[in-house]
Amino acid sequence: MNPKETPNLNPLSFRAEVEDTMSELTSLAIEFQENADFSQRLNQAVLTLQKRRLGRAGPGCTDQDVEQARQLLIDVVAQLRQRLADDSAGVAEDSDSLPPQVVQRLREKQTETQYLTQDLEELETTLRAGKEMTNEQFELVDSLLQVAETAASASFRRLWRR
Amino acid sequence: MPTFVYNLFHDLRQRCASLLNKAERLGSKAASDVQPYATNIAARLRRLDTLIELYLRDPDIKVSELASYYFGEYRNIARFLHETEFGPILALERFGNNDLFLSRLVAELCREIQFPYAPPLCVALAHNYYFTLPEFDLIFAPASEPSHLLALPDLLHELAHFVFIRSAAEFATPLKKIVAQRFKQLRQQAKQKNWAAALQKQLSNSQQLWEDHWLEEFGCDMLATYWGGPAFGWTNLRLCTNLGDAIFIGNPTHPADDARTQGINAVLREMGHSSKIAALESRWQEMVRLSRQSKANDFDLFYPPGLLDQIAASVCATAKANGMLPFHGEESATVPKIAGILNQAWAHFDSAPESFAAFEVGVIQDLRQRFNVAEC
Repeated sequence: MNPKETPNLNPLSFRAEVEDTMSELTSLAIEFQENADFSQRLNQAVLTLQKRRLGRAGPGCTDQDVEQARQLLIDVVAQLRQRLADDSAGVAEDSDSLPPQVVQRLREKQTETQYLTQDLEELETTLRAGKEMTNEQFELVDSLLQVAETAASASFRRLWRR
Repeated sequence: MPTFVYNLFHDLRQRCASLLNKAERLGSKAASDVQPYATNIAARLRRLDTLIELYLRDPDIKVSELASYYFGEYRNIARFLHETEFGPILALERFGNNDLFLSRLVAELCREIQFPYAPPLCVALAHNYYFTLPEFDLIFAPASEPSHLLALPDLLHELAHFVFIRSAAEFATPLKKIVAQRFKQLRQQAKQKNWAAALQKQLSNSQQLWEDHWLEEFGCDMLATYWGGPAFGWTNLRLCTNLGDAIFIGNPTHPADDARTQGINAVLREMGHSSKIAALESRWQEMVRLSRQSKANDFDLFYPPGLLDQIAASVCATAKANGMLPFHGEESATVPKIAGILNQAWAHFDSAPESFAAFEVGVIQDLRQRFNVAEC
């Protein structure tokens, strides 16, 4: 008999392949929300600083906007430095606004990028001193933004596009 | 020539206007319980519509050096609209009597436990198990839940997620500190005892899992137990029999079922319901035997002994300090509390499963009458 014609007597044969994501949607929704909020705040801050750098006078780049963006970046960079300096790969003892997936991705990046910690330290010094960021420092910030956006996209995809 | 990102913002404007129109239309014909929800969603979409207009009028959107940042903004808004369409708009569009029943049940539970926020909407539209979209005040329950009792305590776990997100400083931060200190201590001990590098690395990996999701899952189980008592433990046991796979192994979003059970028991002990644990524990062991699984050797590396007791003590103390009401056990109130009804349901099921179906039908009828919601 052709195996294809064999009647399937398995009582569970009606069961389709299911993904292993049952009941995990709440966790994913929360993860996405954290990552999306962080990515959005960082993106808006960098957009403001880039507008100022290019001398644009449109909306969203008043002195107050620029100061708020600079402060947000200082907080993010300081928290990142603290988390990356702790090689335990674990839970922050103090509350910070960094999503775990972003920290995790940057830890992986840290092993590839020899000078990440040092670059972040110099960036924080520049920002705290109110100096202009260099091109390399804007590139560094863009790479942080890329990590944040990738984390947000990845959790969004897992949540909604399965 | 307009830039691509500028064109995309026009698409966003159209999508947003369409969803706003839907939300307003659905709100105008919704039941009174649902109207504030629809109004709130419409208001959020209106604010978003204004924001999109601002971006379209921003001359910088056409500056090529800034295009990638505007694209970032576009993606954030597009994702929000996607969630709105598949979350609240879907819920409002399909909202029926079963959803009204669940939403009123959730509202009553919220009142009982002194939930510190407005009760979320609850709809029987889940495409798998219970899940929540906290940003949209929305809980999804499986389609048949309005007719059953045994899984309803899971609503408390979903409500707990709102607390852990919105009151993170009070609830999540102290727990993070407990976990961080415990793992730090374990890493130091591992170093002193010259553990193999792979085992030390595993400790760090475990800590990462706790940080990503596990801590919140444990915390939500525990808060649900604080509110719902043993019924939540029973629901967890039933869930493990239905959807669980490896009892002693966790996955990236959820810790191992056995560890979650230990966490629930730790809260019951903390609350003085020790006598209830024996029955739960006995059934749990029975389930473990039936599934022919046993604890893996590295279980303690993922779930350090004593850590769940510390977390349980913190969750109970914080809930109490924040005015949340715990499950008190059997009561004789004129109008029985929902948590009491759910505990009675589980007690009935465990002692007389043959008559449970009839019991359940009666209780659901009473609840529908109490909440003034007709059968579908």
